[in-house]
Amino acid sequence: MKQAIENYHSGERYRFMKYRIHRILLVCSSYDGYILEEDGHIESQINREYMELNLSNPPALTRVSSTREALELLEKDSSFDFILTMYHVGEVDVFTFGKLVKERWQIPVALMTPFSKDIYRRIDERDRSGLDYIFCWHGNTDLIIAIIKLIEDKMNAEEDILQGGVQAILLVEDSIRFYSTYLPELYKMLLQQNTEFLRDAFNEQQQILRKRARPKVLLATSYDEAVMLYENYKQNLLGVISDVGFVIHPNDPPESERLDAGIELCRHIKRDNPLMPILLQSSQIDFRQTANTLGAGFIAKNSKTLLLELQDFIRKEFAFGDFIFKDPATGREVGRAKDLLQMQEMIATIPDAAFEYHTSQNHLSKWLYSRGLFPLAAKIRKHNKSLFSSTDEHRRSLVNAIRDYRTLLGQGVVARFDTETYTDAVAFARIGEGSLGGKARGLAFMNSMLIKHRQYDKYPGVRILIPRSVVIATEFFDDFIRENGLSDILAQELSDEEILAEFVASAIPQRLQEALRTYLSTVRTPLAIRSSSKLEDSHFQPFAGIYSTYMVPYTPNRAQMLRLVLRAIKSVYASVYFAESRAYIQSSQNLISEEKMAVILQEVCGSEQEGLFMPTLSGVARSINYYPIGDERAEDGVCNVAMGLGKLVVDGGRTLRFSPAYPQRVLQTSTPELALRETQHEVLALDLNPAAFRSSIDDAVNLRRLRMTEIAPLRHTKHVTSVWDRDNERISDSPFDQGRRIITFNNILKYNTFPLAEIVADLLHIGAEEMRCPVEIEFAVNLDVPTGQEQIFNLLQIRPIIDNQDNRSIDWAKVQPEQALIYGEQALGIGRMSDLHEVVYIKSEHFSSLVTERIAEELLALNLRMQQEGRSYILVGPGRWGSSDPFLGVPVKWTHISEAKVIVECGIPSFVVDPSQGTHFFQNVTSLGVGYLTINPFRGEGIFRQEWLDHHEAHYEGEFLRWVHFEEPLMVAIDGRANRGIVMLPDAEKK
Amino acid sequence: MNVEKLMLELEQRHPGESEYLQAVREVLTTVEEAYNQHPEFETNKIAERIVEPDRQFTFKVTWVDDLGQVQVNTGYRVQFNNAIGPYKGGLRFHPSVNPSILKFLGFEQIFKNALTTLPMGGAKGGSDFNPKGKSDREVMRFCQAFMTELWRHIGPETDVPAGDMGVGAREIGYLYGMYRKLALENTGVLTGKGMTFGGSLIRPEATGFGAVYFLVQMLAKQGMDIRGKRIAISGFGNVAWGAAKKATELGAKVVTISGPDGYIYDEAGLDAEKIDYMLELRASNNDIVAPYAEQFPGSKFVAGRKPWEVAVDIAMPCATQNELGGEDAKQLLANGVQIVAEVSNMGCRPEAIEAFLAAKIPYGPGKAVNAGGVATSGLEMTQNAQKLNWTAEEVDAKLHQIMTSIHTACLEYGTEADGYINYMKGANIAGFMKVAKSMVEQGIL
Repeated sequence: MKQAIENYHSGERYRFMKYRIHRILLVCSSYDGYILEEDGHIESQINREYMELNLSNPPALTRVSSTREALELLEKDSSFDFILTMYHVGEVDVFTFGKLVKERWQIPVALMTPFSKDIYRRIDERDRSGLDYIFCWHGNTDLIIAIIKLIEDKMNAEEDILQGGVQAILLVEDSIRFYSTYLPELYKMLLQQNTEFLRDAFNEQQQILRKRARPKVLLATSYDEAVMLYENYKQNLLGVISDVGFVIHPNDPPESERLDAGIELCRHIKRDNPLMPILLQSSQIDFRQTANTLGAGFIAKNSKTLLLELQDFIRKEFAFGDFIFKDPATGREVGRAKDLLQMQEMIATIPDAAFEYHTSQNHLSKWLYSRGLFPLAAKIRKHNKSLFSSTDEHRRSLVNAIRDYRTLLGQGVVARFDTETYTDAVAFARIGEGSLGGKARGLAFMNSMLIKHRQYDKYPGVRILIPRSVVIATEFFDDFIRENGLSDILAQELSDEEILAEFVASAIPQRLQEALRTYLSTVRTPLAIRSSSKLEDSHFQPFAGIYSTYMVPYTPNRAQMLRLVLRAIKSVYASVYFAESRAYIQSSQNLISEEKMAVILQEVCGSEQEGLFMPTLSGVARSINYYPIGDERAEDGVCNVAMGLGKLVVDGGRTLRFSPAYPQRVLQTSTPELALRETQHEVLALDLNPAAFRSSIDDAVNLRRLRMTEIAPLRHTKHVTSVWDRDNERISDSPFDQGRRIITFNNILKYNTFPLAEIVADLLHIGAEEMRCPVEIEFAVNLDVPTGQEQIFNLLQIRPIIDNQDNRSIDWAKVQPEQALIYGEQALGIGRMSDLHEVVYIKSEHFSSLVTERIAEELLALNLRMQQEGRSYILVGPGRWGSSDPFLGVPVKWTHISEAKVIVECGIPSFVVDPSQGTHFFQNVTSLGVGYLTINPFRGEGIFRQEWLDHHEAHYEGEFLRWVHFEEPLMVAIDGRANRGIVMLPDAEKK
Repeated sequence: MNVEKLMLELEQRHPGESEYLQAVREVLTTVEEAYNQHPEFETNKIAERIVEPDRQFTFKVTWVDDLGQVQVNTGYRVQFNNAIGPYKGGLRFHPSVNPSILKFLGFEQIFKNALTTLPMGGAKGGSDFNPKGKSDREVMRFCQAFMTELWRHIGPETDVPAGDMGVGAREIGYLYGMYRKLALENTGVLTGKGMTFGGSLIRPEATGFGAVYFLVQMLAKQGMDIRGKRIAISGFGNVAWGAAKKATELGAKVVTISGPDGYIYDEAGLDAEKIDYMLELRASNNDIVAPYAEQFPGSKFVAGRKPWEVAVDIAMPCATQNELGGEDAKQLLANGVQIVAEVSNMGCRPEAIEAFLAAKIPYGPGKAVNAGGVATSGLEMTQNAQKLNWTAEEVDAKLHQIMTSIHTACLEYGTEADGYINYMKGANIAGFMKVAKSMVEQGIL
């Protein structure tokens, strides 16, 4: 061992990293593939990593879009070292696929899947023997690098560590989600530390050695494994990061987890070596005391600053590395470059001597090589001094080469924002590094799809496009939190207002402000400042509508506009930590510390009139319709539109629903009574007065709610309204009639003055095809354009909707509704449940549309109690649930009912239920695997035996709610495709 | 007439038609006493004859939907009684439509029409077609197919259908268009037509205006004047608006209106501006009255309650069925209400009506007070026959005249021995008597 270390320091060549992965087969849908390429430039990241390690042959990625294709490919060519697969990859499911691969070709297979309780439940239930690893993915490409490194580290551990003296970190963690979060962070830290090490290297050879010899990560998922790894490698361990609760033996079932295994491990190690750094992590902060006593660090797993604390812990030993320009005579630093842009700037400005020194030594190209910028590095290396007549010319050539390269990088779908080259011709640009967030990723993807499928000019006179957008990547969120020291504030229990005040009083990084100044000089319309968080809108993560979207008016005064935009960005950042968001993150079993916010700045679609700005209409459409009416089929999709800004639609306000397949058959306008009663009654518009945009936790602070009587003068009105012809008692679609306005969209849907239904149908089709799952889109349309100009269809957002695939096994012919506590034939949901003991119902005799708000209050308290007691329940009451209109149902938000696993909208004679259509609410319901039934038992549609429940003792009884607890779990089966759901009576009660 | 015996026979003849049988029993029970004072009715078997429709048509309606699929519905027309004028009654397009329901509605229509004192018989028709969720074109194709059969059974002097549930101005337009094409004539074969092809003015206001005209007669009978009277009105729709407008014009002080969210109490009473604002409230599509109180600071909004707790001289329920219950009636009586004119159909619960009758407070039942709505159909027929369009003032004047006649008819049959006028009894009997008498006079047919 000593010899190995000495060899290392003396620079004697040792062959580290002997076993490597050369070819990777990636199995993923084109949407996931797109994200990999656009969001993180996966191949270039891998290449960079390999360049830095001075290893030849970086792994080549081969991508196929289904397991079927993968198997076909493997038949022809099985020389892959490793297979990485996503979850939704076609008919042969990943578990079977893994086994097939194992049997035939013995290639390691790792599954990478977004977190979803539903999927994880299925994973737990399935035979996982074909899968070597399972990782949880939030769209962060660094996880893939981490996976490759982890596998390679494992392959090389014994030789490199024991013979080569390489250092290692032992990570003990049995939770897929946690190690999937930790590993990329750990590797990121290690890489940074490695770069730092390079500075004190004596010679190039040593640099190579040290690059190759970066510390490894050893992952243990059980106590035995951890002890074994520790004992094996303890001489070379930098430290240990360990969970507290985990299983003792490998492959033990999760329920056998020992709650203090980590404490035991810590004691074991500390006995052996009291100086070994150990970091314990647990969701139970009670362990902090124990950890301190043992001399170990501690991080609360549910800490809002988990990753920041982890970084701090590791940073004590690692740091960063920049390119340092030196005066060759003195060796004094004359400048430093952290990235290409700074490099470009430094080359233009450093003294001649330094420039000549570094170029003659090929330092620049080496630095570029090490960053994986291979083509640029090669080009610059060829820029020999002898080719130029002067140093200035040489400099200009290098500056141009770098600028050209950067421009080239930005010419993809997602351009990099460059203060020098940015113009309003760039449709989609990113500022900064890190993730774009779910919303921006989806948008960038659709932007490329619009071009691929040539949608943008498909209809004469209509332009279909995404609004010009700039995305501030998550890097700046981290910088903002760190530079302003906000992590301390986040640890305190503050009100939303206090959090907002702290955020608004903090400063946005200067570099970002510069970029925004450039951007704003090209802006002539109001801007929407939208959240695009890491968790939001990624596959299976229903964060839709949780974070804020602020709107900022256009003002010719640039300084004023910048101030407004900065305040909006800070407000969006703050919204991550608002109580509702935190509760939501907790209820969806995510970690707030994982959440990072990117921000999209988007031009608002629409036109100005009388100090107000709005689009003609906004809408949300889904490619799958769980509530089809009449001839509609689930796969026809469904669309909700409203005049004005889309917040009304997104928040579940009263809008117009239509099926893109049948735009002529609109339920709400099919009779005058419905049209008068059920159509939109307020219109949202942006108030263009800058003073209206005050600092507020309400992102609608500067939106005006226009009453129907106020919209008549607006130019948009004529495109979407009809008039109630009182004398004739009919709806008139004549544009010249005066009278009570009704927002019917008849001009568009009936007379096809704009091909709305066709466009929506096209986009839903393309989105669903390309993402290989049902999708939801948000859009805005502006018809108020000068004569001769194209009308605008702006696609604002696209996100996947979870659809349950393995729910076909229920044989409804054998189900006996007469043995049901609840039965309905209008259902959406998720299969079987057998762990529900609680039923909460609204006492129908106490129900009235006048008390719905009080019912919501009582429910909130009850739900909180359920949450604290770790219970889930079946909720029954007159719908529509989630309606924002208290007259239509109990106005609950998600936090009121987050613990309900089955929700039943139950009509009573005075309150017939038409199914809810609030899109975001339902996104959450479906994505979190909640069963949903709509029944009207009083008219023979479904069963709900309230009298039977009334005869059981109440576990709780309030003014409006009653909670009955059952010792035996109630059996629940719900089948969204067959449109049926049932909650069985307990066995003893069956007739 | 022995109601029980008659009902037994009827049940044997029409088993399972529960709605129809129930309606017959109710009407016959109400008129039994008066009927039995007329031996000529018994001899002519008026009761046995009046409960059976003259004829009913059931026909197939075949049409093609937007998907190109052939759809089949059933169409009906029940021509119940044309003793006093051409068959007249609405068409209903609703999935619940069946012969029993149409017979029930048609039977009631005979007496409603007769009560207006206009020459209109009783009929009803429709189909199990549901216009909800259908496209305009589908509704049009259905209406055309429906009329392809119906046209041969109707005519301006034979049978004049109108709208009902599911049949509004749009459907009347399509139906009329097809009739005109098939019959090659432009006559008043349907009422509820568009203004451009024979419709009548002041339809939206007619019910409310008519109600106030009836009220004026009720007051006059009590020796009172509407001027200065405090009136509680519920609702804020067309009917409430019409009633408020006419009552205010005539010098009354309307102090309340209401919505599903509560009621407005306006001590100063409504004026022209406030009445116009009711239309604006309506136009907000929001179905609430609360904003009224913000608009007019002198008024106050009382959330979640009904206006019957306000002390008034006159109560006019104009909103929905069963909106005035027993407790409300007690409260009104305790506050000294002098007259109740029910404008909404069955707006008062039975216990409320009992309370008013017991207190000997004049109570105008909906079927009489709101007959202005039915009467305008008759006025549309008259204008079509004359090939003239009356001005709003002319229609209004005729309406006034009709409501006065209805009131007179109610007096004739509703005045009790002690002088108290039981308007409900009067209205129930008046319509029946007119038809029965004309049947006797026209012989056994």
